[in-house]
Amino acid sequence: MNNQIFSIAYFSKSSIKGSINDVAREIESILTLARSNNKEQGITGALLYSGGYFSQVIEGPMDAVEDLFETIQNDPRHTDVSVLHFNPIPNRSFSDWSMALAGIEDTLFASIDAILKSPDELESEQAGTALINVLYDLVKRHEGQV
Amino acid sequence: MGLIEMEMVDSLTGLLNRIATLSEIDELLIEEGSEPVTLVLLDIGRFRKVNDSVGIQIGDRIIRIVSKRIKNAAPEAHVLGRTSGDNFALAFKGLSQDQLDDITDKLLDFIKRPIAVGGNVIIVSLAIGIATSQPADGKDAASLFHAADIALHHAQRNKLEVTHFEPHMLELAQAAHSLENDLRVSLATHTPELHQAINNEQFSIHYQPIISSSNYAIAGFEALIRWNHPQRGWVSPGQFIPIAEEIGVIDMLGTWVMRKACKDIMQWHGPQLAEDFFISVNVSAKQFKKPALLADTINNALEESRLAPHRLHLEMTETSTFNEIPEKFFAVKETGCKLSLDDFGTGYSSLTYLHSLPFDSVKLDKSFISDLYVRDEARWSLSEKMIRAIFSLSSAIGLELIVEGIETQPQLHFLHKLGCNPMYQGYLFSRPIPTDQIPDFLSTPLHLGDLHEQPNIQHCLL
Repeated sequence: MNNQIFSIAYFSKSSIKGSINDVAREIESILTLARSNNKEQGITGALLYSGGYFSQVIEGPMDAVEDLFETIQNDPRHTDVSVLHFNPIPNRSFSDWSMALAGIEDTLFASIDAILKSPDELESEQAGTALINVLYDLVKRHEGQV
Repeated sequence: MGLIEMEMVDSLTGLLNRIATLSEIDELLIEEGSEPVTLVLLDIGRFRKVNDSVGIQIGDRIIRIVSKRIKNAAPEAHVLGRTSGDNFALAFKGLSQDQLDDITDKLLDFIKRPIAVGGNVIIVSLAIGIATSQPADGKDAASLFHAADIALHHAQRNKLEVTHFEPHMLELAQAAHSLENDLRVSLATHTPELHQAINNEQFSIHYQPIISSSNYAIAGFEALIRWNHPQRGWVSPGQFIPIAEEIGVIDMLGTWVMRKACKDIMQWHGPQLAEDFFISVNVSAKQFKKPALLADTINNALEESRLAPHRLHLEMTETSTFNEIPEKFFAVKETGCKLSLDDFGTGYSSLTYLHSLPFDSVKLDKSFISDLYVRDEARWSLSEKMIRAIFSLSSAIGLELIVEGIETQPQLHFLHKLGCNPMYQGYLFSRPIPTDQIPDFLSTPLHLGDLHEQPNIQHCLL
């Protein structure tokens, strides 16, 4: 059996209309639903909204990650999805969170912007790792505040 | 699942199968009310390739995922079916143009999103053909399907994502179909002894001289295949080469041209021929995909004709697949022939090819030269700069340059003034010449025009 843990990292453009508060409400409802489903499926990860873009990392068994990713792909609340990496990983980065919120920000983080703009310069794989690190730092900070 | 249901349903996706799709559309068409029915046919691009690279099992999962995405993107479809391996059909009743545009936008958006499957990330491409039933149309699903299918093929052929059926596409499709049939028939009848049969009949080679600018000797010839069809007359290679590639006879034709060209050139003598003048043969990207076969063909043609390998040049047009196959170029290069990059400056034109692949020469695309003919000073000046840059680039990295499409004295004069020594090809020197007229051509002096005359370039801009 393949017990390996996979991780997928992607960016997408938000299609949620309204103020940052409307966006925040929508994301809270996404997360509430996600967290209860994810636990059963062995999924962990983190989600960031900044400056109109979603960045998300999903970790778990391959089939579970693929199923969840497909559900997310069918969601009309975002578009222009680009996958940075999809690979087996030795350890989960977000083992404590079934889906951590890394932040909901009106403006695009400079670090995210850099990754977003340089898929050619940064190899996609590197960009994926960079995204995981950025989300990890943000989650630490964000959850620390709570 | 009952027996009747089994006959109606595609077992992989749970959607309607082809027969059930057509009969449901027939029902829609005969329903009360005169609302038109719109049929959207959707084809996953290059799906066979996807299947080859990830395996049939994952291929099947992709089809299932795509079918769910279609359902999700267009829940308002009255009929949704899988009509063949990678083909889906959706039928709608009474759609406005805006609604239809929304639906196709959503289909394109959702289906083209990345698919994570079996540890891979796959992005599929798709083409959509649309036909709407008109009150005047014969109201049956089969003819509506046929129209949408023609629109789909039109989209694929023209690399478009969405195409609505228009009556002229029917004529185009019929013309392409009948041309393809003619080519199939012509080639099928010739298959046993293709090289001899073609020679005497419909296929022939015309040769266009390539002139050395340093001494105006004939440096070589480009071999150009011609097809004189008994009913159609001359068919342009631009029309039949893509079909020959598609139906898999390009290797046969390419082999025949190469063997004949190598033999022909050995027969030619004349004072204006440069020593070691070469023959340049076009090779399609399809032929290049099988480098071992191509190398065999080259070696056989060289051996048979006793032509020195360096006198055979292969011309190929850049394609997007160049970067996938660098080792193939080297395999062919081992035969000793020379490689020439055709139509340089259009298409992909990656500068990487010039130094990473073993080319000996480049042929500047005709369009640069034809811009030297237009009455637009800005375009003239831009073309001039581009040509200068390509001249210095090619000489800096040691590539010979061949300038094609020279038709007028001012063009030649301009090139002459640039002060490098490319090779020239074009109607100003000679049209492509039928094989049997070559001896005559070689026995008369070449018409070079008067280079010492200084044409007023501004004059031809007026």
